[in-house]
Amino acid sequence: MRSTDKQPDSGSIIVWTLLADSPLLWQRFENGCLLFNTGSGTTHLLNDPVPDILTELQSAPATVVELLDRLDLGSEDEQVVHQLSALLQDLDQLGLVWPENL
Amino acid sequence: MKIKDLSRQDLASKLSGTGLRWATGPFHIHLKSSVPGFSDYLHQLYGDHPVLQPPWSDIADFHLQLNQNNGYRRLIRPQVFFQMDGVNHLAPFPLDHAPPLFEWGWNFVIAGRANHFLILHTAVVAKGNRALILPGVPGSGKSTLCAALALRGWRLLSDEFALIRPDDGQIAPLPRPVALKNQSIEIIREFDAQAVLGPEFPKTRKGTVSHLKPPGDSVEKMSELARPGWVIFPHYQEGQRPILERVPPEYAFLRVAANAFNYETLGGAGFNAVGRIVRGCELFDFRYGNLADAVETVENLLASSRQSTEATP
Repeated sequence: MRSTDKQPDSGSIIVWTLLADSPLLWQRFENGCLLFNTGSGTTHLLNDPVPDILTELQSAPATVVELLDRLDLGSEDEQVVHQLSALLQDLDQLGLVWPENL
Repeated sequence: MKIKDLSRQDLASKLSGTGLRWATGPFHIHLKSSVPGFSDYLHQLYGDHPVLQPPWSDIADFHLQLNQNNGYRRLIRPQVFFQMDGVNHLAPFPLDHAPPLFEWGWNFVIAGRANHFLILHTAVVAKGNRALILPGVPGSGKSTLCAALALRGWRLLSDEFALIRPDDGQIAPLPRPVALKNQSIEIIREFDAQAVLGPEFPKTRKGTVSHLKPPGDSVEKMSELARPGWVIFPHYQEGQRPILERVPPEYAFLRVAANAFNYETLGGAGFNAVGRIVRGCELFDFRYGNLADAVETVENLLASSRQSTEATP
């Protein structure tokens, strides 16, 4: 774990988990990907790198830094870390991922 | 036996008695009506549809009725009611507007009940067993273009619904009269002088409506399924030269899904069915302003698709 995985206010570690008790269905195209959440009945149009992020989280929960490493996106750049954090929060709003505080 | 093989008197007698049972595409209909003149509409526009014979005559997907008012309203501004299973489903129409009420009422119950299909709100025609899907909002020209293509030899599957079987993605035809509205009625008359059009019904909620009889060949082949081959989103604009533009599949997916009556009801099966359509079809936006040009453009598209298919090893 690194300091970038910690919440600024509490200092706790956030591990992101795919929020899908029900299966996710995919339709992948060259320039976009459709995802159907069978739990919510909602269809999402996703651009890169969101499909890869969700696929990684489907295999195992991860912190932001772990996720960047697994996606080979480089975890040294603070700006990239913050961008991915913001993206995960957006996905949280869509009901696709869930932050767990350790 | 076809509906047109019944005498008009026999047809009226059946409708007002135990009811008429016939087949249209995958559906068996049981209709009762004592509305004066309605049997003439049925005789003219549904003449090629087969009357159901035993044992199939015992089974119906829809039990429909067209009923008149009782009491004094039978005399003063009389109305007609559309019922399924004895329940009124739509607001009544003036008595002399029974045919458009019947067509809209039947559309209404299909859209709400036939959830064993993914139901797209679209016109569909086919060449052989490859279907052209024409989804569009009211006013986009889908019914007019569909009527014109049907009059040029395309097989009419429906001007209102694509009934997609979720298991294999095939479309079940539903060849019924094509509802033409307002200026489209005259456009189709001018397009083909042989077109058989029913009576005009003015002052409906959609203006003046008239129905084009489905080609006999389309009714004859109403059991032959078709595979989606093209999705074209028509946009009629006065004076527009015909332009076809490809639509990316991920965006076409959303538009096709939004066009379905029951995409959300079917859940994952609907999602997979739309994905199969988008993957199996060439996808276009189509702007046009002249019907003859539009038909020619679509015919050329078909020809070029065939050439490219034949050229593919």
